[in-house]
Amino acid sequence: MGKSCDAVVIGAGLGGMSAATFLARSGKKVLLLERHHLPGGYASSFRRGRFEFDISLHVLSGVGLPEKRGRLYEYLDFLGVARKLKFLPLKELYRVVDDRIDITLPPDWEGSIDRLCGFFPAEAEKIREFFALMKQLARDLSGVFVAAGRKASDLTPECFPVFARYGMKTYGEILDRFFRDEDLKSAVSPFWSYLGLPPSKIPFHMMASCWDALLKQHPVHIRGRNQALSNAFIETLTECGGEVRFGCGARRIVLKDGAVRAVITDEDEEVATNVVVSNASIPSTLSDLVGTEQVPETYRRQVNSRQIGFSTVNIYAGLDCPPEAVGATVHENFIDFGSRIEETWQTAHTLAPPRGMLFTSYTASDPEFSPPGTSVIVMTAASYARPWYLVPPERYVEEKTTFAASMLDRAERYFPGLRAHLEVVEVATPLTNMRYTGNPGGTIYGFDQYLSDSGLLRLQNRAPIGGLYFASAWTLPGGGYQTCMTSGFLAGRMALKKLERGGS
Amino acid sequence: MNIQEYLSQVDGFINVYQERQVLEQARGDLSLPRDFAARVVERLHPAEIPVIVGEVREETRSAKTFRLMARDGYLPPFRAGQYIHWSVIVGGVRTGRAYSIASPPHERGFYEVTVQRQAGGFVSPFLLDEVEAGDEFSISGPAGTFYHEPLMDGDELVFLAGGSGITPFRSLIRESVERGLPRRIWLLYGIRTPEDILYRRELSGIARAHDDVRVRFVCSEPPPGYRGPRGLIAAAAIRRFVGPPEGKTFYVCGPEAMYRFVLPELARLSVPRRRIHCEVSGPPANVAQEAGWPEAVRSDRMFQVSVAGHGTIPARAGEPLINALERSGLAVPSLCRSGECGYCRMKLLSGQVFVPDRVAVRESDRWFNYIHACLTYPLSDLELRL
Repeated sequence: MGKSCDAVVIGAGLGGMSAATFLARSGKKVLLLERHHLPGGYASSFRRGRFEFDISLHVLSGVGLPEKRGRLYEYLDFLGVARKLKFLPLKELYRVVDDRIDITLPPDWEGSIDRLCGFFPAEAEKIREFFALMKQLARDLSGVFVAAGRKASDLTPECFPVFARYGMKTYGEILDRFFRDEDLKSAVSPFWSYLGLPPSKIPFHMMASCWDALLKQHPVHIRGRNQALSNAFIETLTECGGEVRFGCGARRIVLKDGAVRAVITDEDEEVATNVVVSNASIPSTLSDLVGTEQVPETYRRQVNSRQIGFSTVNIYAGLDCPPEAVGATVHENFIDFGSRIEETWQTAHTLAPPRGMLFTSYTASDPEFSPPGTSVIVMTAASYARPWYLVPPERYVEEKTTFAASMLDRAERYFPGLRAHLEVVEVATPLTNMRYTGNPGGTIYGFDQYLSDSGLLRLQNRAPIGGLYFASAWTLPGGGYQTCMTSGFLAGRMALKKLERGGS
Repeated sequence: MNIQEYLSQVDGFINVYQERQVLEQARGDLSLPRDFAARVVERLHPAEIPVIVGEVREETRSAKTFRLMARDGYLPPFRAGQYIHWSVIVGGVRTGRAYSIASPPHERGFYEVTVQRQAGGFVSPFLLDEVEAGDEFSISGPAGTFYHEPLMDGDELVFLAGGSGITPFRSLIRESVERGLPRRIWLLYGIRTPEDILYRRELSGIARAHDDVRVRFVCSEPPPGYRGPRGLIAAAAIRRFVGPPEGKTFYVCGPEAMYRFVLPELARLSVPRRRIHCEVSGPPANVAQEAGWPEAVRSDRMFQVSVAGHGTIPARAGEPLINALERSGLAVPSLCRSGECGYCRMKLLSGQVFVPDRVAVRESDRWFNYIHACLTYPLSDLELRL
């Protein structure tokens, strides 16, 4: 008799680890498959020389401090993951700097509002109004999700009045409605890069949720980098009796009568199961694992009608000097990333030098992040994969070097001396992201989060195939650390319900 | 009202919903973007390349160069200095070794690797004595980070090679001169005897023909009457050969003992750490001589290693764990076999191990007891999970 499991989870990214650990914690027999030799997907780290780089975590929301914990912490605590980790509070929310402004916001609502009012006194009243509105909208949005989840039938437009009025607007629309000073708009726009679309396209409710998530509880980072989080997940999963296999992905999801019956692994083993949670991208799960012909036409259209989201070029740099030697004292910096965003986003569809970027100074917030007297900096520019597809393999290194050199030149303007201190440098492009995560387009947030692909219009965790669930940035609620783990929880909970209902 | 009815009351929702419906009218092929994308990555980073041995050249009495050609005709581009992992089956044991690509990147039809016989070696005697033109193998895609990084390395390059550590430098030097790159290169090549020098005529010829490339062979055990430079690659010798070290980038590749000698010499010349690149070097000849090895454990001591789901196997203290695992028939992925790449990462469930300092284990992997089996040695009975 072959192997059988309650659930097979495909992919040990945040969504997959979250779903697998949730199910194992609930007493189910779980097999987690991961193609790479390492857990985490984007939530992993790598070593170069005497440095270890965090691949993707900038700021973690939903955890907070011991005196005020957030939802994510509660979830990780329930699983048994939180106690294996140490979280480090960040001293600032972010610094936004360009040729006109240089503003650092503290990591709390009132502090941020006061700081902005100090810089833009003429619009102080509007600033307070704007932030109050975002808080209400974020609250309404989660209310809408909950109502949808419990299939409420007793709603009125007055239930969520702020969502009813602002829920389907773009951030840019609201900014223009509230503010006149372009510099003020720049100061409050950098989070566009945490969501992947410029203000003219990104839903206001997503930006509001982002602000809310990062200011409601104190934003943190993780001691030991994001890899510690992934390792803690795997540790907990195995403690709960779950099995994880590295270097072994899934080759096929076997269906019978439109429902999941088994998974065939890369090692050609058939594992019988009625539940599969896929952390692989939705498009590749359907095309490579299920088979397009098995997917109902309407669902195919739903998937096809979404855009593969943006990706990144990252420069991972180890410096032979402490962060303050190049002025990198704030953890998260947005360099030319709050102003002229529309142009920056357009440029991200080409290989032209990026106009702006994120500049994250990890050692500034965690002195143990790199050896004494050194620092780790990661620079991140937005970049779509398509132009990279067209680079012949022979020219790839040259193109990425040119791209990265232009980023270093720009960073050097704000952090003079940076280039002279480089000890280790590694450049990752959308193709690198694709290589290690298997995400089409090397996207970091799944589908681009347009209004028409946000909130309840985003694909949900349940596929129209019995027993198949998705847990990743590709589903509701969207891209990001907290959101991906939430997606894993939602998928895991649905899978658990199905398993407890029993039946075939 | 239910959620749909509520949403229809949301300002602007109807428009967005209509937009969604219009989008869904569009026909598309789900498999297209993914397939296309996968092939793009595959051309840069194939997991495995089936190769055939083209030509085999004898370099010295103890080294040969193998020309490896792709069976399907396509080899990915690489950066001069990178290596491949050559998979072999020796005496029924599935294993492999990492070899720097010795041919330059612009020669696109093949990769050349030079194999030096290792005293007491397992794979090198097989490759040197048994492999012939026409034999088929599988290699990894190019890997490693020992290359010239234009974002920081400058154009004045000092190559310090020891023994068979010359191989990546052949690629780097030939790339530079044959493509006319604006680089100045100094090669100091430390070797036991003149007969052991690899690529001797080729390198001397390049140095004669190109003012930008200077080559010096330094013999540590020269025969009587030898007139060339002798000794080790010491600070004074480096200084005499390359002039002031400021602004130059130093690349070091050789056996473990060479790093222990050369790195302090570079420190003596005040070469900053950011100006020194070291290639990784495989397991040490005698691990018991490594700093931190517990005196109480003899390197020939045997331990029992139980591998979850795979039974128990014997392992010798002085040998990397991966060897014992491979001998027992377990498939362990590996690439660098030097502790760096992490492909052979696995979980230590119980027991004591020795891990040399240079092994690039992640910080949190240490906390959670993950090891890189290619450069980890048992100091007690162990339990592992692959």
